[in-house]
Amino acid sequence: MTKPLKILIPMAGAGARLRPLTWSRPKPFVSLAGKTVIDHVLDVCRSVPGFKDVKFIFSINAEMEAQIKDHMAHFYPDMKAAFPIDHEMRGQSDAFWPAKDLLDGPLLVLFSDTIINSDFSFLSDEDTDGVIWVKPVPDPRRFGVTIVNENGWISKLIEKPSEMEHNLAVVGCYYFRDSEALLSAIKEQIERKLYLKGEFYLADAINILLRRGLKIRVEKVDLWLDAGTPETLLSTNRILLEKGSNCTDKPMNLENATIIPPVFIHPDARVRSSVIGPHVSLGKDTVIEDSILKDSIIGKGTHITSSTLESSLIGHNVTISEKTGRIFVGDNSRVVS
Amino acid sequence: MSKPLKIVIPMAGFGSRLRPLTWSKPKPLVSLAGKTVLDYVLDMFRSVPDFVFAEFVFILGPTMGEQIKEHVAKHYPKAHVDYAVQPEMKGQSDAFWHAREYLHGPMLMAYSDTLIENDFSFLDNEQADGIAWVKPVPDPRRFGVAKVNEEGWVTGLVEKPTDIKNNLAVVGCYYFREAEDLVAAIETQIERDISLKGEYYLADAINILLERDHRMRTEMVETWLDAGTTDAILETNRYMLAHGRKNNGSPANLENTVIIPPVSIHPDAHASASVLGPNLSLGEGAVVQGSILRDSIISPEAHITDSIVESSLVGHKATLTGQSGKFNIGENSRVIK
Repeated sequence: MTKPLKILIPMAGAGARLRPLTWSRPKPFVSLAGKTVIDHVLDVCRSVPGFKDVKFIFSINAEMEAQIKDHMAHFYPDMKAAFPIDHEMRGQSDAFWPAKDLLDGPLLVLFSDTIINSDFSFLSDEDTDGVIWVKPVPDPRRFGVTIVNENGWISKLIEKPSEMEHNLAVVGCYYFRDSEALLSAIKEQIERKLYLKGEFYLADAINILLRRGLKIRVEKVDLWLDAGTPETLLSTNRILLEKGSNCTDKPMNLENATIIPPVFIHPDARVRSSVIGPHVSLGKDTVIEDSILKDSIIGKGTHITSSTLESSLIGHNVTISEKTGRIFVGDNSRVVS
Repeated sequence: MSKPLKIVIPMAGFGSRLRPLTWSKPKPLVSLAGKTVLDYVLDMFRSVPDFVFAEFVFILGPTMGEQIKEHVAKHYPKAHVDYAVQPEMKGQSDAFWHAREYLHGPMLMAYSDTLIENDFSFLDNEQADGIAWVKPVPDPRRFGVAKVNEEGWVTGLVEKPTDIKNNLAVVGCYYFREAEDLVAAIETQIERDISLKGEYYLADAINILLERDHRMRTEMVETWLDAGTTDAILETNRYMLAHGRKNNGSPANLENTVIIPPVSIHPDAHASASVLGPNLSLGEGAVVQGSILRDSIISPEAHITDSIVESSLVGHKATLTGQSGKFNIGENSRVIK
């Protein structure tokens, strides 16, 4: 690679499917297995060649600007990052447009709720025009899929195919050797108004690149985790805890507590007379007393007393007492006796 | 009055004391006694002279203003409303400064969480330059108070007085005969940078007016209701229901259900096998089955099944199943078995 690789993470979407959590925070900052969704996405990038010096470009909306800048400055103080604002929010391709002056040379694009296991170190020797990460799925009809010709090159992308023939679903990770070529395709897409329901999909821009003769191949992943809905956030939490986010080997603030791994319990969380786990993520400064929790994500500063909860997603600074069941509430809620 | 009366309502605050409801709704659109807080604020001005010709000025915050515009367009299509935006929370005077293009002639103002019961019809013959509405309180130290001389003119406003000698708390409703005078005083306040913790308080602008021999008198209010905190809004809900805002719902939509007045049940709310009231506000499209609800505000489209709910604020489209207790939960929350 001549010019250095950059990484673009579009994150301007509203996260409507994760309400009420996303009423108070952008989707990438929802808690997941001891961190936030965006932290796990950034972990995926660590195998990128020259990761420490890679420039990140976060395409954001105006409302999340302060939150994301604070988060990045606090947890990634050495990161080189830019935060162009997507004012119009007209879809994936449009998210590139505010970043256009920042893009040149090779580009890795990762959507902000895509967590995959991929080793990106091969990118330093990659000599194709592009790579699209895919996963074979049993029923591809709710995904975007790639059509691959006999020589292994992608011939076309199709959004939500009606047939089952092509089952390589696009996971939301892309490499482009020349980001100017991509921008020129997006420009053509916008000029020709190639959009669906008011949104410009990246697939249409990539189809323009393919028609221009660019050679793009697929790269298969075997782990593709989604954090876009309550159900997938909980299942992704379970998998990440099983794959290394478990923390029972680290100090925990426990008194008469039984821990059933895997769990993540923040060192500043306090647990008393409770059974925690499996698959529970407890944020900083949570206080759990006389309770049984399993399969749940509990945000920072939340207090839970005398309750039995499972499959729950609970925001920051929530108070819960004497409740049984599944609770899905946002920041500052109170559910008490 | 020759020029139309301007009724100015600053509503830019974040409503942080009403979280989690205000994560998704601006504070004026929080549900209260069958309507919204904003509807009650507008109701309280119906007695002003020539109400139909009054011109409203709403000062919105940088976010969620569209929801207020939609509410006004739907419920008050004929009202003359001008909108200003206060981009940063720099205090009350700053809010008026951003609305100054609309502030001409006689002006009445109130905050969007202050509900008073008052007859404004006398304003037709008002000779003073200004009026501050006040209420005597037992302990004025957490309020702003008006100092009044023996002729009855206000000589100064004092924020959070240290002694309890002067007990006329200002309720946040003011009349100015010439809005331009207030704008000029705010300009002076900003020039002199008379602010506290980054906020320009209206009291300081009024003190500048008083230095300029503005003749302001006080007017007593009997009823002063607050809709700014979770406890206060429940208390205001009780007051409103006890003072003429109750109804009995639509019998066709209430099956095997006992009503304990006072309640406000939207004609499009449904209930079966339930006990509703006292002091319950049930919003449009809410569905209640097998539940006991009292002393609560249940927002539109909430679903409550097999639950006992009291002293609760339940947001739009929230779901409660098989629960008992007190709930303060926002839009789209779920607390289920």
